[in-house]
Amino acid sequence: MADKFIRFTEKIAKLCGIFAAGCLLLSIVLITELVFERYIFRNAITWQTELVTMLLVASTFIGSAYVLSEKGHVNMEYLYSFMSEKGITKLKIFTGSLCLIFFLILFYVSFEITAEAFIKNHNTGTIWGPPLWIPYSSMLIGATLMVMSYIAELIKLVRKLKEF
Amino acid sequence: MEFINNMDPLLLGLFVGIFTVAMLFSGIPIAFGLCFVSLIFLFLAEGFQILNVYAETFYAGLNSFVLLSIPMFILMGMAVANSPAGKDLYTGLDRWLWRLPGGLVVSNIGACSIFAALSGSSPATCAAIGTMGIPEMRKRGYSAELATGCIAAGGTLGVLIPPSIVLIVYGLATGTSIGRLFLCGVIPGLLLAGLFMLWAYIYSYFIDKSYAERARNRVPPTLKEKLEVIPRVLPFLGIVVGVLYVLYGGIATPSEASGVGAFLVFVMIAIVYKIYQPKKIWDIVKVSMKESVMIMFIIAGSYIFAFSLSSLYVTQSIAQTIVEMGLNKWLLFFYINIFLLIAGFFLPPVAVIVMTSAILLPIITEFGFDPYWFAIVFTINMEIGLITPPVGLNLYIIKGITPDVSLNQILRGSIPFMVMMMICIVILCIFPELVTWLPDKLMGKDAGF
Repeated sequence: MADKFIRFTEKIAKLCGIFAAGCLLLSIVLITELVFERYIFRNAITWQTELVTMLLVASTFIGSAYVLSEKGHVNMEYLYSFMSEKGITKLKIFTGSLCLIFFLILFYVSFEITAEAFIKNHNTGTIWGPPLWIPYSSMLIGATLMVMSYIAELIKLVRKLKEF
Repeated sequence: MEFINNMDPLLLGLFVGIFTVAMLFSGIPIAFGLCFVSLIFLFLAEGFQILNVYAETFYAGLNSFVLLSIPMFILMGMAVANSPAGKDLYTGLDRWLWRLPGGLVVSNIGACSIFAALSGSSPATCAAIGTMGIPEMRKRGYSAELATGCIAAGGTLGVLIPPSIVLIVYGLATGTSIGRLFLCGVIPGLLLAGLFMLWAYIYSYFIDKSYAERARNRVPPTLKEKLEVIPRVLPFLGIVVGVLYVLYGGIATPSEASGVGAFLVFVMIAIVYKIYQPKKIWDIVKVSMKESVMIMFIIAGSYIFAFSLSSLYVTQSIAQTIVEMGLNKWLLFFYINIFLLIAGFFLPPVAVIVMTSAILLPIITEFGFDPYWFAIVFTINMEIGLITPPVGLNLYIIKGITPDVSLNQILRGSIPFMVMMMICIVILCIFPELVTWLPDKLMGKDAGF
């Protein structure tokens, strides 16, 4: 069961990485289009800036789980060099749990604001004015993935601790 | 939680500070550590009602069109770094500058400066030039210390010579003009590159005397060899000039310029190096995404951290207390430098900027320093942090390129360059015009304020 969950999380994280990278690639195309539109055809910009900004937010939140799986989030490993392998694992379990708590709270609050925006039909308040729940949901999806990733990470760490 | 609200803000600030340092030392990812600390203190001060504000502020920290220039400049740099352009740039300079004393090191620093103008990131610059440059320098008999140290230091030019991710974040955090900040970085960046080259020259002439002999044994490159690299390097220099022109001419915003720049770089590598296969493009986008997500999350974390400090009145109290202490202007500046230097040892530059600018900027302007000039000094301080442990990103990148050179050797090699950076700060303090002259000349004295 636990193994299945870990494999499932890894797969989803990878998919999200592809999505996040896709967002960036799409942003390049959209910005180039925007520049043409604004400076060459002299048209007013209505939706492009907002959409690319949304893509950036989505790429950050949704790509985060993938970056975590690739150990891409910078941390200070200075203390590790003074500790035993077992001590490091214990410390990692501790910090992993703190991150899990944080993302559980973020999951809860982003669910609240996304649901509220959805029910009350809020929009972003611009000329284009897309529904606000869409950008907010990227934070919700991101937090969900991070919760899953940290659970998977903690399972792996606890197993490793048992081997000592 | 009454006790938090009744506490003296300065004491509270001290608590937050100690708690944050302890948290970061535990090895938690820096971005999440900052998020967690700010959540705890906001919650203790304001209770449950803060949670929704927290989520909205966290989102708002990332929801900015200007920030988009960060992943775009990263993409631009990565695309060049993952093509043979870095190698060509490097070989080109070497073939033209080989006769200079310390020639190869000078070429490497030069290549770093040019690459810095295509990329806004310091580790990317190190990786792009170092992968080719370090083995080559060692092959030609330069010591491991000098070879690795000059790339570690040369890489830091990436965040000083525009475009620069650090300056974009500074502009965003302080409300200063990014175009003007970029212009401010040009002359100090070149000055620093010059100082680095000066050290390479001193080293090769006076310290490692066997250099001259090695230079004599070298077969000089032919004119044909010298000329054939030019057409491959020129298009990229063209993009550099184009992006800078668009930015400073006020024709487009940094995000627009960076987006089009990234697009053009992809077109160039497709034409010049035949890199257009989906798999290769995908690899470039993937590594860029990794770096971008990491930096953006740190920005969001630092933003919410700064928000919580200011909600707790810590920011305002510290700034006010320092202003009221009535210190001598330059003594205060010295202390700020020491503070930034230490902060830079432990935190990535973008985090330091977002977290401290709200405290430092009022102090700096109160004491009559120019915020643009300060941005450059700030950046150089951060660069020093990039080549010192424990979070010196550049050191680890270089360690990755040359696994057989120890971290200590790399550090020993970069110390003279660190001294050069400090000398550069002193020079900028004596001659602040080095920073402000170019933007004043090109944008007018008041533009951008």
